[in-house]
Amino acid sequence: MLVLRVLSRGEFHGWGITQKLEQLSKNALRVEEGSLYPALYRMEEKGWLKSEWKLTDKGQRAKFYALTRTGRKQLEAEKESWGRLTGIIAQVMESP
Amino acid sequence: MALAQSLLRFSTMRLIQFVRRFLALFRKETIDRDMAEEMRFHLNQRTADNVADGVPADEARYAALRQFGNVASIQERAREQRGWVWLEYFVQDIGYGVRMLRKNPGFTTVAVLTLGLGIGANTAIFSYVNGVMLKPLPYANADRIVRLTEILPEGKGYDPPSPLNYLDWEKQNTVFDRLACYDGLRRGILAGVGAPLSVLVSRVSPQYFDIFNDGVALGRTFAPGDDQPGNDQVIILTHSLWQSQFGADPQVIGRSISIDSKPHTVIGVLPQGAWDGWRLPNNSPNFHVFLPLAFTQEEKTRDAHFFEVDARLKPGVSIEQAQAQMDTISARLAHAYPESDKGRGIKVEFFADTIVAAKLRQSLYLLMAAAGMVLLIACANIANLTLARGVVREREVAIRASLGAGRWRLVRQFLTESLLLSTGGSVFGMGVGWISLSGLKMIIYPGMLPAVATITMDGQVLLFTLILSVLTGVICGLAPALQATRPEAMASMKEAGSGLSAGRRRQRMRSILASIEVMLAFVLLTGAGLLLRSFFNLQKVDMRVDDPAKVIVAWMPVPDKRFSTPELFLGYYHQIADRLRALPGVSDVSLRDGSSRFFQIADKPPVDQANRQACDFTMVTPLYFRTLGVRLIKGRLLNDRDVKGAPPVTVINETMARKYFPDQDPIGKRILIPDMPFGEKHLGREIPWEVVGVIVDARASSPRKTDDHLGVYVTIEQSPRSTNVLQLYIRSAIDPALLQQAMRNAVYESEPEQIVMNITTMEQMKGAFTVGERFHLVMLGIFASVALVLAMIGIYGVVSYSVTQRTHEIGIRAALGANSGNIMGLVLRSGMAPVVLGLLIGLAGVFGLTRFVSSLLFGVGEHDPITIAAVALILAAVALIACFIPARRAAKVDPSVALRCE
Repeated sequence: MLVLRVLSRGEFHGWGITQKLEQLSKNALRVEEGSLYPALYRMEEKGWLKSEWKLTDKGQRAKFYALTRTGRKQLEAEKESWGRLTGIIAQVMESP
Repeated sequence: MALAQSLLRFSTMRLIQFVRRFLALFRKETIDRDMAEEMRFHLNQRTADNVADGVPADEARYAALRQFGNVASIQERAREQRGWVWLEYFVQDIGYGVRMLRKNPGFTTVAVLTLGLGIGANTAIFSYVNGVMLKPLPYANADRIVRLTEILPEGKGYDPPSPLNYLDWEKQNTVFDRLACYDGLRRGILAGVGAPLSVLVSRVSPQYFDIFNDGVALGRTFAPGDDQPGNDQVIILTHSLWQSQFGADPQVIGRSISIDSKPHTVIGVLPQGAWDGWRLPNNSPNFHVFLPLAFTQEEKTRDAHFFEVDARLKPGVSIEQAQAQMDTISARLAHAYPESDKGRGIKVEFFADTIVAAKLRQSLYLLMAAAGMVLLIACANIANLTLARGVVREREVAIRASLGAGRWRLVRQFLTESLLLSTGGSVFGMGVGWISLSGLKMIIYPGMLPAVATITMDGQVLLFTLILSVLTGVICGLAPALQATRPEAMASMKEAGSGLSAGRRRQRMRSILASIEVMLAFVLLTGAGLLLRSFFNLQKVDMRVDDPAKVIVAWMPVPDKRFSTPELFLGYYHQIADRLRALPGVSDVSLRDGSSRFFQIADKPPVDQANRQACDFTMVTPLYFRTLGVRLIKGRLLNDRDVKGAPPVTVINETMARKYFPDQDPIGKRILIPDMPFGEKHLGREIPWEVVGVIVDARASSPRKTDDHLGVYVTIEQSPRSTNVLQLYIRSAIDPALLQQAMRNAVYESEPEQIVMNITTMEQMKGAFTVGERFHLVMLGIFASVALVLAMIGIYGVVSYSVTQRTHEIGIRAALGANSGNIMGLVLRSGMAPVVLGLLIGLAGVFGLTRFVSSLLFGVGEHDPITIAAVALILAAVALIACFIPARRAAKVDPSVALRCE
């Protein structure tokens, strides 16, 4: 879900995703490379992501990932269920 | 509409995905290169990042690598996310497996041969199971055809229905759309085309052929009304008869031929194959004709039970509903006709279930189980060999694991190898199966199988073999695969090689496998041993007949109702008998006819009809006893003065005397048995037969018949009945084979139309009765011997391997002063431990499983201690030999050499 969220802001390569995640979470979250790449490949396989080789700002070749329409829908769905889950947990935690 | 659209989109997506996955298979190189580049880029970025943080260049690179983790393993996992990677791996595994197996030709050959034998045996037996039990019958609506049988009072057995009962069923039922009867097989003489010919004659109801949907090749089948007396002079021929006797002449319809001297008009010819299945043991076809079943006046009775009733359920009617209605009808009949029907019930069962005899079904299950056990033993052996190879491959596993192979990936590799083996085995096994199928067809007695069964290796059998092969691969590959890929093994790079504890664990697993083999072999050998003993018991059975090899038995069929009086009937036979007696080399000639009749003892409280016992009521000429050489115990035998008009007398057998006249002299007592007057099928009044003698129990019919045979013998003169066939018994003074032709000639000279059938001796009859036993014995014997050899190889493998592994330890022992006897004892003890364990578990198995063969046994208990002990001894001895060879090798170990190795 976090990866999808990052990619909803634009195209990123794998390294960019880790950087962005760290930046967004103010260094609180660090995603392991060991989990990131298998996850990227899995989401691409499911049709949530598409990828393309492009040049970076510094002129290096890198593989950029972007959300597809299905990926966007998936993000919405996951956001919603996350919201519901945290809502429920909050309700339980705050009940007297 | 929206739904349709989204469905369309969904399926388009699926299609694209499919195409992409498919294409990805061929773009593997590109994809892998991309992945590597992607990750290299990541590492470079991280390194740059670290440099920017002020880390020296070399350090920065290492730190980045450390953070990233195992690149190969991550790539592998990323790759696994792709859809069809398994197919790619599978192809890889197969290629690798084939290379591995080719490098070990010895192992591969042994494994393929062993598995091939096991799979082949299963394929052959399954072909029979499939042909006899699984394939649907070759009739349309086979699932609606049922057979109706009468149940004897108190469930004592089954009885064919009686004609009047059948007619009542026909009138009262609402569950069948066709109901028909078939009066069995009778011999008749067909004349009117060439020489007179003996044919099988059956009478059937007009609807009979409709039930089985046989149709005709020519003309028509019977129509309603053909069964009315007067209209019943029509006949239907089988295809083979039409071809061989009528030259396949289409003009045969309307032609007149005679059956038993009565003219009949041919109205139809059955299609090819229909009813041609009845074959004699020598495989010659039996020509068969059908007449409409018109009940004669004397057949309208509830006393005679002589035909089969088949029916077709109405569509939608279940067999339970039919059974419920027939229960009501039988209760009604029992109430209305207590004399004949009291206590009787009706059984409705599927026709398909009736044609596979329970005994055949049981023996097929037995053989299937035995073949399965052989295959299991073969699997255990292969697993054992593979385990041994696991040591050699420990290094390989460790290297692959450290290069990023997951455990599951390695297990899959090992399984692929064993699947390759089992596939090779099943290809070889199909050859073995095909050969054994042909072999089985030669030794199997055709009468043992239902006539409609076709035994071939068809698609279903091949599917079975395929499934079996996969199962076999998994069974013999899984344990070694798990063992070889234990986490410790995968991490054993650092170890110098054989870790002691791992070796011991492997040894334990191999011992367990050896125990399983011994256990299975024990069960199989015990089964074979029990059958062997009962076979010898059957051979030893004293038929209580003097020199049965010299007694010729033959059947003489006679036309129904050819003789109007008993005098003519008896005169006819006496004339033939006199002619035979005059032949040189013949010492005695006698005739026999028999039927089963209910009886009660005179001067005792009358027994209700429903509760009477049946005896074997045997009508003979007085010389019968001398012909067979049966010993008289008490009183006198029957003689020529016991004729019509003289007081009715009988000779009974020992069993009859013991059961019904216990502790008293049976001589002079009387037995009441209803008479069947000549030319009739009704039972008439009871005749009091006075017992004049007691003879020993002669087992003239079957060696298996034991103490329940209640023999009552009377003279034919005193109780002649019209019969279809009389048995001829001749005692020969010379070799019976020399007499056969002379016998036929003598009968022909006396009565040219009279046929003499199935000439055989009593000794040969006994052999024919044991055909089934011999078959079981041969089959189980083969399986058990294969099992024994495989188990022996298995034990040898385990012990021999452990000796090799313990060379070092043995060397130390020898160096410390152990003599060769001590060392041999050590090896033998450790080798025999799994054998003893296997024998103990096997003993439990024997007690649990032999009850399944108990009904096949004769004269030996299912837990016969002698057999079990003998089998255990044989197995132990064989195992000891298997252990002895490696033990001797161990004893010869030279300590200086042993200690230097490693």
